[in-house]
Amino acid sequence: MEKLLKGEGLHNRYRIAGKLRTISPLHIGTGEEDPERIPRIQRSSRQGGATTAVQVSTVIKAADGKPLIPGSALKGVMRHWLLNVLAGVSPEWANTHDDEIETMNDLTQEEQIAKLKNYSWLELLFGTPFHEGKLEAWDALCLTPAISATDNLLHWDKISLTYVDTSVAIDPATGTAKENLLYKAEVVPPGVEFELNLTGQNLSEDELGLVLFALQGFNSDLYPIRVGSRGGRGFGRLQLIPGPIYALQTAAEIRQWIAATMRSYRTGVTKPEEAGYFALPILSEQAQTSLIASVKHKFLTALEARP
Amino acid sequence: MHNPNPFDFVPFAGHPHLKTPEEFDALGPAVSGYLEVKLRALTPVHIVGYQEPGAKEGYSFLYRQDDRPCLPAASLRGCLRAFLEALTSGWVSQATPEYPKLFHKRHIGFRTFEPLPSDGKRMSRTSPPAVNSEFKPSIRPDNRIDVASYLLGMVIEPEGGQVAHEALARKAKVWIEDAFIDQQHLVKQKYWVPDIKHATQDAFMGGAKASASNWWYLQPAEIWRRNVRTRAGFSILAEFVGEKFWGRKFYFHQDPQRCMQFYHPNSNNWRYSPDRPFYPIQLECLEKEASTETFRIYLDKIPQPLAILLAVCLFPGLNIRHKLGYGKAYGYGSVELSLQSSHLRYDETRPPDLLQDFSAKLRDWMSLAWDQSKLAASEMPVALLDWQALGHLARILGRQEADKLLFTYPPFAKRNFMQPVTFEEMQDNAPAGIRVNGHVKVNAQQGRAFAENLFEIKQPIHFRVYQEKAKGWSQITSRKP
Amino acid sequence: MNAPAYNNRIFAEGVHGVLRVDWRLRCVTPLAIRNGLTIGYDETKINKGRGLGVKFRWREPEESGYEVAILHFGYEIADGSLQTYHYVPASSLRGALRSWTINHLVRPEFRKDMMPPEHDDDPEEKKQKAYLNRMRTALNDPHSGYRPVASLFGLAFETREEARDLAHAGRLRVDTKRFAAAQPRAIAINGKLNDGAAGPANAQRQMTVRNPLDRMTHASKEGGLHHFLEFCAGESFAAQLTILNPRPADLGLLSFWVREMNEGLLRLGALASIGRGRVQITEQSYHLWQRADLTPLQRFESVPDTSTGEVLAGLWCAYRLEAARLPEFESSLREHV
Repeated sequence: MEKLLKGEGLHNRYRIAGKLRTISPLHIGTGEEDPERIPRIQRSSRQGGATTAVQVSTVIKAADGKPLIPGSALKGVMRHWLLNVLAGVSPEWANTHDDEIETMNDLTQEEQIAKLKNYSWLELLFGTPFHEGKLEAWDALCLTPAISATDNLLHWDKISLTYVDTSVAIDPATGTAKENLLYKAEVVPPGVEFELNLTGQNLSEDELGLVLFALQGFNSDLYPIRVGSRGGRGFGRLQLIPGPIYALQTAAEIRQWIAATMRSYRTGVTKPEEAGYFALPILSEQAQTSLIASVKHKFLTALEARP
Repeated sequence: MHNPNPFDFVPFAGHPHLKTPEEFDALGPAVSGYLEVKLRALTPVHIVGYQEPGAKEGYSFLYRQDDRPCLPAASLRGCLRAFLEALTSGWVSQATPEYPKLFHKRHIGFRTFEPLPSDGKRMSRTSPPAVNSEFKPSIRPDNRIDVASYLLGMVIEPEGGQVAHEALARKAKVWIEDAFIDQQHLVKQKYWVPDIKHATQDAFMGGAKASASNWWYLQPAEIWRRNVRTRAGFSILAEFVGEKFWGRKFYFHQDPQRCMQFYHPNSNNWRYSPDRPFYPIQLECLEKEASTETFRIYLDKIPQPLAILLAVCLFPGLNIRHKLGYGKAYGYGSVELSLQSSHLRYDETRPPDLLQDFSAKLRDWMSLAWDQSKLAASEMPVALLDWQALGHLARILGRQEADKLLFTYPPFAKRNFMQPVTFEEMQDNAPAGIRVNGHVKVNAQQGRAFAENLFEIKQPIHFRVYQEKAKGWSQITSRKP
Repeated sequence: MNAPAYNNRIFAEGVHGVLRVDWRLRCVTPLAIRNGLTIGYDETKINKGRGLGVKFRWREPEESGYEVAILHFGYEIADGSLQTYHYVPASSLRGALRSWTINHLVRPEFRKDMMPPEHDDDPEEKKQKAYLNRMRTALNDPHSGYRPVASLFGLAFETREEARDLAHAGRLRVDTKRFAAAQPRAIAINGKLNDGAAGPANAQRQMTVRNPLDRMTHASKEGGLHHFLEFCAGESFAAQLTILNPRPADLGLLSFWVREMNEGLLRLGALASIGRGRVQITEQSYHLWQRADLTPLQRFESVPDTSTGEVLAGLWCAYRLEAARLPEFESSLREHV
């Protein structure tokens, strides 16, 4: 299949559903600190006796107060993982042309499109600073209901499903903790589930294979995708629990889907689960496995062709 | 003649000996690794674990960890640090900061490192610091610290004016592991310490508590006239007001069985009352002459001269031995270490070398105790040592003739702690040329003269006078390190 | 000739392999990994009794009661409820490895002031810039010993723009598994198990007391008595170290870590001063997974891929190194110091 951009008509569309479950602590920070997340500390009389607010780095949350994995974060870690794994395979699969972006504005639209189509599959799929990619990741909302704790030692919050983790920086020169480098952060514990939704449009088989390959990166034991901060320190591991992949793959399927949707509207008995994405054919597991195997085979072929 | 008191003091030098960590680092090549040692009990050793009270006696189990009897590293470490601080004129790393004035309990309050101002009431005074404040561990502008803090680590809590991150902390360079004891070396029913029990009060038998109203822990400062209400009516007594700690406290070695007998009611040396009867606490002990299992003492990048200092502190020559744990006043806890093996390296190469057998070198180092010229020749900074303090340590912790001497507390009896000295008696026995009508300041010499003149009336007024007049004092003073 | 400047583009070729290290660490001595919190407990007050009738309360201590410092733990949602478990945080192990490496590989003059300054304490970024300059000097000296540290543990700076040519993520990832006690375990006091279990029961813990003595009176120092929990000797946990794009020098460093850990010179957690934190590596394995087209590191033997469901299988090939051969890589590390 030729290389297509997102805006070049509607050739196919996919929705990849599933769940992501934390299997290690997770912290996707807002970059902000909350002085009221935990009670103020009462200093001893020897230390002046005043109370001091404790700053706690907060995690990003949805409107319902629950933790959230932003789609941008998911897309970012998948892209980063693919880039790392494929960087040495071949520039056709993964490359970066970010330094060319400045010069793009001097080109005509046709020239720009022609240039983009020479970019790697990864860039076409995920986009560049110059163009939008074909893969969208929705914000992954939390599926786990509110749960109470039997103790409040780590300041568990039953709505946001977070506790407060304290880490200490040790100065190697003295071997002791630096009090000013005590760092407190909200953390989502293992066992919390998030709803995963990725959509893709105008994907070649290889691009779809690439997305499925990347998703398996969450479950990699060797080099897993990690989300959020402190990935080098055991944080940010997520287990992918695959769900259905709704696939609108051919022009005939598109026509059929439109016609069926229109019919159901006319009869007035449309049920949510029979409309929209849910009315689409589901990509079989076998097809998924085959797509991943196909791209892996192509990676190996590319490797063999390397000088 | 009375027995000497079971503890004595190592006087403070004028100033603590301090250097910056960098100056300590530069003393010589760094040595790392570990020694494997055993601790041998010269007298039975007890560290308190569970204590179970009974009707007529109590029982104290030896400390345990993982269900194994154990001498905890913290005790070994505390023992080493106290010795090292005294030997090197170091900071006083552990001290109760304040002894406040308490109604009916403590007439005169004082603080350890700071003055305690008078409360303005009658019979009150501004007490100067009981220890020169230079000996208080502190964050100094010049970053200098004492040898013990350099070797054994330190944590100094920030105080009011300082922000939290100025808290000064150093990781220890000496790491001591727990010393486990094989069950077969435990003795369960043989040893005890005397105690007393009261139906309602938490009575405890031991030496006198630190008080500024006598010259037992604190040195002579003043004599006061105090009106006291007794059962017989009002009395006018002399109060011997003290103000500077005599020094750092250590206990003499002695034979606990001889000492126990002294306190036993059958010996009639010690009076017990019906409401405060004799109540021995049986001690589960590491038996005399038995050893712990092998345990490790680690060195983490210690400059060689200080490694030598550590070696002579751990293995302090022929005469000095350490004391550890509970019941020191009754002879328990005399110990010595025996070196089993040593695995050390010079830690200058990057990355570090393998550990090597340093036993021969270590024995050479141990043999330097306490030869000043040889220690100096080994580049040990002998100026760091307080040689006078070493002399005092040798007197107290020396084992020479330890089994022949008996050290006991002054009893709570007439002519002893129970004995008040009336103001009139004090006036009658005032040294020539001193007239006392109300409060009077006394210098060291005058204080001693008062105590000597009053000795026939009350013996334990002045700690030094009491010790010097005790049995066997000349043998004690002849002890050398 | 000047040595080439530090190259921070350590992932320019992506990630083409990982060295996967699996260790089982057994506590030879107690281990104190604290989280700065205390809980309360009751003790039956009996005249001439001590340590009797202790009951822990897994919540903050009451003002007048006894308190004991507790050990690191985390929460997990499992079976619809919030459960607690003890573990050694990966940051603790990683920090211990990093500290050891700095103190034994880096030239002494570059060991001090290698902590990034506190941001709030440095509004004009003067300290940040000075820190950046110190790091730059250390990194541009190929024999400072700082390059292996930076390469594995990463470099982060507040002053991002000025540090573009230095900052990078580290190649080392550390993961730890929780303690896995076969049956729930209570807290031991003086060798006896306490009746009331408190908090996570997936590791054997003991309560230890420190009671410093006043130097002048030998009475307990007022306010000095404190109690803390520690993991008991004998407890064990698994750790995984993943080194991206491994180099021979990394294996040399691993060799030192293993040896120094087993010797007790590289310890975990707090209170090394009283001998805490000595661990022994009781099981160890070293697997290299590397892109199929690349030659594996010397001394690694090819092994069949037995992974199940590993997405990188096939694309990457598996190799194994006998743990006993680790010291053969030490000379590679020496080239970097």
